[in-house]
Amino acid sequence: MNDASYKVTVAKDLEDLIPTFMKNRKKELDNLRVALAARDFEQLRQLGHRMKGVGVSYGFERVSALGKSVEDGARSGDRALLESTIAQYGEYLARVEIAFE
Amino acid sequence: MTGTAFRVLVVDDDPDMAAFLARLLTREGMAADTVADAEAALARVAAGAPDMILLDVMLPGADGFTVCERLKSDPASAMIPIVLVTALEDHESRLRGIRAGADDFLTKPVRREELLARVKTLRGCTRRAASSRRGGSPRRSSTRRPCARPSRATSRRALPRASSPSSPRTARRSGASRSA
Repeated sequence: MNDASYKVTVAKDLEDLIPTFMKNRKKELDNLRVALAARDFEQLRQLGHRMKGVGVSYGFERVSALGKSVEDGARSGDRALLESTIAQYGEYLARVEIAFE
Repeated sequence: MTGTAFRVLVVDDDPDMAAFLARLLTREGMAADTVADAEAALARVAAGAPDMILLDVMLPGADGFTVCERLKSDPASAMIPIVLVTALEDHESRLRGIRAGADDFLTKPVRREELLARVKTLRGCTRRAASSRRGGSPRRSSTRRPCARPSRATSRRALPRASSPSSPRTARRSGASRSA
């Protein structure tokens, strides 16, 4: 991903919700790692499904795209895809830059 | 929820999604209340009917379809407009939602413009019906659904689980609605 992929613009009226949103995404990342280690594909599918639904709503297109990848990987039992996607998610959350307008 | 604003009950187990939906609604001058599961949703409606319900399909325990069926099969809540919010985009899920009595659908990820357009349309229908109705208290009655099509789920033949009008549960909910 290039640097532009880590820049997100969020609606100003959602600004006060973003700290909780990001905190929950980091918890989600932990949960994804635990579920992957446990090979709990149903849990992974549910987590991916939730990411897919909530990401774009707040303006985080990449969260939804990664969520779809997690969901697909969980459905097919594709451990390599899940590992790669979860690693990308971790990098994304560490680097994302948020602007409000 | 306040006494004068259009009152929307948001049912979603994802706190971020619930907060997002509630924020958009309150920005438009509506009152939003949130609950996270089916049981809480049914209890909240029984305690006082909202003007509309945004209902997520994938809930812990009973799913949104089941909640929708139960509300639509109860005369005390049958006329509350229900918008099913789901990431499920397939035809079968939509069909199941229609059979459950849903008045409209929103697909996740929810787009602000689409949400507000749908909610405002249903709010406008409710207000027009309230202004044209004679007598009664239109804001507090839960027996209105002016723009929605007749719900299949309100047919007790279609839904055997529908409560009898004389059952204690129905009587209790009717009473709650009248006193709200």
